[in-house]
Amino acid sequence: LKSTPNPMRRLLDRIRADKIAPIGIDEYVQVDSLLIRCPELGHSGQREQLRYALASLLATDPDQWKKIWHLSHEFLAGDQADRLVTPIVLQDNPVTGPALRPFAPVTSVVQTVADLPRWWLGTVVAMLIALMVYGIFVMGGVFDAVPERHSDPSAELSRPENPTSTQWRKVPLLPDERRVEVTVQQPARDLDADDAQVFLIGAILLIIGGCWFALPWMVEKRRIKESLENVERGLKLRRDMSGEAERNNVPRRLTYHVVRVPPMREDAAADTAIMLGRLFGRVGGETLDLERTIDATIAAGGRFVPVNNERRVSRAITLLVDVEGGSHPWLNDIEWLFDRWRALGVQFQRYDFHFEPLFLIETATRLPVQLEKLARRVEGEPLLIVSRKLTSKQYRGEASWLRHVQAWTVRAWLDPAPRPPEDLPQAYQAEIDRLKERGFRRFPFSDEGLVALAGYLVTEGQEVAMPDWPDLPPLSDPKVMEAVEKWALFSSLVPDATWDQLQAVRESFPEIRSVLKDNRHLQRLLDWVESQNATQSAESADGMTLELDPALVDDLILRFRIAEVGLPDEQRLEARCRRLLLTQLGATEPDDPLMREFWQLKHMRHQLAINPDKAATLLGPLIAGPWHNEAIEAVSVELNRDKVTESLPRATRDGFSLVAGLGRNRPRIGSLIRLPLPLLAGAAAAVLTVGSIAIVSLNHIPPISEKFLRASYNFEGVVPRDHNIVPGGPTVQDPEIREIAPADAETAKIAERSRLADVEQLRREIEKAGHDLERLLYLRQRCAKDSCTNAMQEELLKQIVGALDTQYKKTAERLYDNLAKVDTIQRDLRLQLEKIGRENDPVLSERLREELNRTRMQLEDVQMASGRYRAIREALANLLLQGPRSNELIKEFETRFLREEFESRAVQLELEDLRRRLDAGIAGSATLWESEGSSLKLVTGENNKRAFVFEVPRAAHLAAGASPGSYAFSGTGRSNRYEGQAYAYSAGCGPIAYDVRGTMSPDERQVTLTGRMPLRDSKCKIMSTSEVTTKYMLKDAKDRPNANK
Amino acid sequence: MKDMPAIQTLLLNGWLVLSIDTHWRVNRMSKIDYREPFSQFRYPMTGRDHNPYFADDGLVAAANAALALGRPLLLTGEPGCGKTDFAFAAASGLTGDPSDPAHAPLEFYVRSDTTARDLLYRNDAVRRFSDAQTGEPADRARARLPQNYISLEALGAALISAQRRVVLVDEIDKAQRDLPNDLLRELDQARFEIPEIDWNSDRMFELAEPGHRHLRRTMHGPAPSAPRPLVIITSNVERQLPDAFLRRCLFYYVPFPENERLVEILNARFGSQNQTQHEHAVSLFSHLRKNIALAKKPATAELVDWAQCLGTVFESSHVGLNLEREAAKIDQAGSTMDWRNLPGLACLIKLREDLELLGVGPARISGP
Repeated sequence: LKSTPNPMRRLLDRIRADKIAPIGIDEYVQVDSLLIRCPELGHSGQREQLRYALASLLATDPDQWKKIWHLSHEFLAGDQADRLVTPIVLQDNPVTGPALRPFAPVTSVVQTVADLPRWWLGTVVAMLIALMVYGIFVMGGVFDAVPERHSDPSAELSRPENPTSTQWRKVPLLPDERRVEVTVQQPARDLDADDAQVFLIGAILLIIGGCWFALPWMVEKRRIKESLENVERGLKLRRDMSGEAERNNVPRRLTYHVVRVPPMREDAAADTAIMLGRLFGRVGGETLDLERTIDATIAAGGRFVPVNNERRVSRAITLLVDVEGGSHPWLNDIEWLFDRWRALGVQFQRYDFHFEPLFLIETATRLPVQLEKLARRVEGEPLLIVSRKLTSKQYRGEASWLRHVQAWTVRAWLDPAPRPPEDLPQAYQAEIDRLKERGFRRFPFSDEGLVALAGYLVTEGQEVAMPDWPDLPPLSDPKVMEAVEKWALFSSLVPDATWDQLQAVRESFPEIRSVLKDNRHLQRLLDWVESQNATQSAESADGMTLELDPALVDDLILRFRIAEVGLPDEQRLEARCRRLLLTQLGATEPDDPLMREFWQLKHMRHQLAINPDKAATLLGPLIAGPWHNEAIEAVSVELNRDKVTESLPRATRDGFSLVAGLGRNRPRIGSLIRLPLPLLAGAAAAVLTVGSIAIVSLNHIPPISEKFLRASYNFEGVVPRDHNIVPGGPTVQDPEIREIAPADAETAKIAERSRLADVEQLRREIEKAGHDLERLLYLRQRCAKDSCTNAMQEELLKQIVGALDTQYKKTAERLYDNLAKVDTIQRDLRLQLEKIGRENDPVLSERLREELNRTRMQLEDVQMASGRYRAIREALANLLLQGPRSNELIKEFETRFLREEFESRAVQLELEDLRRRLDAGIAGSATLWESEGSSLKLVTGENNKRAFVFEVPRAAHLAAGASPGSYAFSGTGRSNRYEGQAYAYSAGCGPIAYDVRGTMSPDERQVTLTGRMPLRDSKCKIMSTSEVTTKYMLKDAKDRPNANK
Repeated sequence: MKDMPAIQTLLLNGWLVLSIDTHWRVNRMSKIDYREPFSQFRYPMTGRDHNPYFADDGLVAAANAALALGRPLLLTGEPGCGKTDFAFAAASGLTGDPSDPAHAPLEFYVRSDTTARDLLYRNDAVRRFSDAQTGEPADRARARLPQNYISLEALGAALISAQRRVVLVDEIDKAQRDLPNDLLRELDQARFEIPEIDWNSDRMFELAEPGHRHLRRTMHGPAPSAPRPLVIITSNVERQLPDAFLRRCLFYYVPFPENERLVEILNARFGSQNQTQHEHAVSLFSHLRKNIALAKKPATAELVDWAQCLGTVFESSHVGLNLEREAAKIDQAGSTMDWRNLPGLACLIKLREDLELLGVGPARISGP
C-alpha cells in the first residue's frame, strides 16, 4: 500500500492492510465526504470528534470500533496533532496501481504542502515576500548608484592647473550662440558587490521568466507524453486482462439486471399450450386387438395376422426458428413463448436456422441437421416455421427447402414481426401469397394469432378463422412520435442497448408506456431509427442490439438537453434514463478485473450527465486503465455536448478539458513547482554563460566598460550674457572681464548657466506659488539670496500684495458681518429700552443685560479683527513702499481701516450710553453704598434680585475699566444671605465674573461678600484664584435694602 | 466565488500558488456548497420523559457524522443503557424544543413479522376490498383510488419530510434477516416506491381524500438538497445483521454509564440534595453489576426505579444509614455484604436465582 503524507489516507490504508475492518472505495469516499462537508473536523481542535466519527463510520462491531479508535490516535494525534487533516482527493486504482494522471504529481505536491503545519507555510510565504522586497530594494540601489546631479557642476570640474595670463575682449553673441549644451562624463568604474547582487537577482528573474515563456511548450510536450504513456499502458493492461478473461471464460458483455416484459398475456400462452397439448397421434400398442386380429386372420385365409390395439401418443411439433444473424428484436419474445409452452408440457423439437431452413441446428444438442434428412424422419408431426424473412426464392428458381417441407402435412408460419400488411412492400406480399399456395399459413405473433395457430395445428390444417393482423400506432401521430423519440433517447444513452433493456425502459416510463403499450410497438422505434439513420441499419449485425448513428445520438441528447434546460434533475428524461441504467447495472461490481473496469467506465459515463463531480472521482482510476481510450472519448463527447448546453460548472469543465486534452496548455503558476529539470538547467546555464561573458567583457574590454560603466549627463541652457570674452583682444578695464578672466572661460560659462537655471527654477516656483503667503515670503528670501531680476522681484511683490489683499477681503467680510450683527442688537436694545422706560420691567432689564454682554463680546471680536488689520496694513505698507502703485494702495487701505475703526468705536460709545441709560431706568429703588473708596448703588428688583452698581468708581476702578453703571455685584438676597456674582475689572482683559456669597449685618448697614477671584496673566488667561472679601458699607442709614419687603 | 480564477481565491486564502491545479478546483471548490457545521445538537438534550439526557461525546460525534453523511446510526449496547432514549434526546437536541410534538421522533418498534414495507407505509387492502364490495357509493368511489388506504409510517414520513426528522427504528434485530437488506435502497436514495399506487392514478386525483393527496407512486423528499432524516436504529445484537447493511450504517456501541454519570442522572432526576445517598446507591448498584455474577444484571432503568423507591417509600434517615453502611463494606476487605438489609432490593433483582445468589429469600426482601 502506498504511504502518503495524508494521515487520513495512511490511517485508512492501515485499517485496510491490517484487516481491522472492511474498507472499500465507498469508505474512502465517505470519509472524504465527511471531511468536505464538515471541514472543521480537519482542525486539530476537533481531533477527538473526528476520531469518534471515523470509528463509528468504519466499524461494524464494538471490537472494530475500539481498534480503530486506538489506531486513529496514532495517526491523527501526537505529532500529527497540529496538522490539518484534509480529504483524500484521488484514489489509486486497486487494479492498475497508481495512475499516470496529467495532474497527479501536482496534486500530490499540493496535498503534501497542504498537510504541512500552517506555521511552516506562513514562514515560506514570508520568506518569499522578504526575498521579493529585497530584490526590489536591490534594484532600487542600482538606480541610487547613479551619481546624483551636483548642484554646482563646476565645482566638480577640474580647473586648469596653470591659468595663463591672456588679454581678453568682448565679442557679441548671436542668439544661437547663446544656447549651449554640455555633456559631463564620469570615468568608468569597476564592478562591485552591488553589481553582483544585480546580476544574481537578474539571473533568477531571467531564469524564471525564461521558464515561464517556455512552459506552454514544455507543458504540452509533457502532457502529450503522459497521454501516450497512459494509452500504451492501458492497451497493455487490456491485452493482459482480455487474455485472462478468455482463459476464465468470462462473458464479454455486462449483465444488466433487466426485468423481462412478457410479450403477451400469460393466459393466451396457456390457452395455446392447452390446445397444442391435444396434438395426439395413434400408434400400435403392445396388446392384441382380438376382434381386428380375427378379422385380419380370416381375411388372410387363416394366416395369423396379429393386429395390436392402437394407443394415443402425443405428437411433438417440429419448430424451425430463424435466428437470422444470431438474434433479432423478437427472438426474446419467442423464447418466452417457448419457455411457457415447455413449462406447460407442450412437446416440440426445435431447430434453429439462419435465414433459409436448409441447414438446421438442433437446439437441444447443438448438432447440425439437414432439412432433407429431417424430412425423412417425419411421422405426421406438424411443422411450424418462425421467421420474419421467409422467402420462397433462391438464387435460381424456387428454394429447395420448399421441396423438403412437403413431408410435413400440416405447415404453419409464425411471423413475429408486427408490421401490418399495409406497411409491407408489394414484393413481400407476393412472397406471402406464394408461400400460402405452398401450404404455409402465416399467423401473427399476437394473442389471437397464436390461438388461431394452435387451432390450425390441432385441426391438422383445417380452415380456421384468421384473426386480424394487430395494429401498430402510426408514426405520423405526434404523440407516438414524441414517445418514440423519448424511447430513442434512452437507446442513445446505451451504445449497446439490448431488446430486453428497451422493453424494460418502455415499461418503466409511463410517458412511453401510455402510448406504446406492447412489446411489438418496438417496431415503431425500429422504423423511426431506420428513417433517421443515415448509413446503417437499425439493428446490429448480430441482431442483438439497436444501433444508432453517432450523429443521431448526439442530436437526440442535445435536443433533449436543450429542451429540458432549467428542469429539476428528477424531471429530466435523460437523468431518469441514466439512473435507470445505473440501477440495471447494479451495485455489485463484476469479479473479473476487466469487466469491473468496464462496469466502472459505464458508471462514469452515466455520472458525467447526472453528477459531474462524482464522474470526476470515478474518472481518476480509469485513467491509464484498460478502458483509458473509452473513458477519454466519453469525456470528450460530453465536453462537445456541453459546448451547446453549457451545463457543466466552469471548474469541472476545465478539469475535464485537461484530462481529455482539449484544454489549452496555458502555463499555471503551479507548473513552475514541477518545472522540468532540463528546462531549468538549460535556462540557468544560458543565463550563467551570458552573465559570465558580460562580466568578463565589462572588466576587460575598455569600450564596453566605458559604454556601460560610465555615467554621462547632459546640460542645456542659455548663456546669461549677450557677449563673450575671447582672448586676443585689446585690454579693457572692465571689472566684469577681470572677474572672469582668471577662470577658464568654459567654466565660467557653466557656472553662469547653472545660476540661470536656478533663477529660472525660482521664476517657475514664483508662478506656481499663487496666493500662498508663506510660500511667497519664503521665495522672497530665496530671491534675495539668488539675486533675482528686478522683474521677478516686482512680480513677487505683486503676488504678495495680492495674497495680503485676499486675506484682507476675507477678514473684512467677517468684520462687516459682526458689525451688522452689532447694529441689529443695538436696534433691539433701543426698542427694549423704550419699553422698559414705559413699563419698568425687571425681567426685561435682566434680559437686556444679557444682550449687552453679548454685544460686548461681538465688539471684542471686532476689535481683534481690527488688530489683525493693523498688522496686515503695516506689512502692506512696508511692501508697497518698495513697489509700484504704493501710494494708491496705501490710501485705499487707510481709508478702509479708518472707517472701520470709527464705526466700531462709535458703536461702543453708543452702547455704553445705552447701558448707562438702561441702568438708570431699571434702578428705581436704589440706596447708596461705599466699598474700597468707590461709591455704589444697591439696586433691588423682583424675586429678591440685588445688584451693586458703580455710581462713582474710584480712580483705580476707573483705570481698570469700571465706569459709572458698571456692576460690582449681581445676584439675589434672601433674608440676610447674599449670593451671586461679583465682577473683577481689568484694563487689558475686561471684566470677569466670579461667584460670591455673604451676609448682611443684623443692622443692615454692611454687606460682606466672599469669593474666589480669578487672577489672569498678560494674555488674559486665568492662572489661579484668590479668596477675596469685599465689604459694602451703607452710606445713608435711612434707606435699608429690605425696606420694601 | 465559484467562477473566480483559482489564483485569486488562493491569494485570498493566503495559500498562494499551491493549489492552482484543476483537479483541486474540481474536487474542492465545486463541493463547497455542501459544507455544514459538524455539531448540530443543542444542549441540554432531554429524553423520552423530558428528563436530561447525558450523552457520551462519542455518541454525539457519531450522530453528528450520521447527520453529515445522511446515513443511519446503528446503536447497540446493553439493555437499559439509553439507546432508545437517545432518539428522543437527539430530536430535542436538533430542534431545541423538546415539547414541540411536530419535532418529536417518529417511532417504529420492530416486531418479528415486520417487513421493510411496514417501516415505509401501511396499506389497508382489506378495508379497500370491503369498501369496494359492500360499501356505499361514496365508499366505492373512494375505493377506486388506492391512495386513500395508504398511510405513511415512520421512515416513509421522515424521508419525504421537508424538515429534518429523527426516526427511531427500535430493536431491528427482532425482525427477519431480510428486513435490513430490503431497506438499503430506500436509505441510500432517500426515496421509495408504493407499488400499490398505479402510475395512472393521477387521473383520478380528485378522488383522493385530504391527507392522502401527497401520495404518489414514487415518494421522495421535496428537493435533493433537503436534509435527510437522522435514522437511529437500535439493536440488542440478538441476531447478526447483514454486512451490507452494517457498512451503510454508522455504528456505535453505547457503553454502560460510569458511576459519575449515573450519579449525575440521579441528581438530575431527583435533585442534588441527596447526592451522598445517590453516590452510595450507585456504588452498591455497580458492585452488584460488576462483582456478582447475576443472571440478569440491573440496568439504568432499574437504578432509577430503585432511587425513586428509596426516596418515596422508605424513611430517609433509615435509608441513608443503611446505604452508607452497606456501601462502606464494598471497599473493606473481608467484610460481607448483607443484602437483606438493603431497602428496595426488589427494584434491582428480579430473578429468583439471583436472589438466592445474594442469600436473600423472596420472602425476606425488604421492598415496597
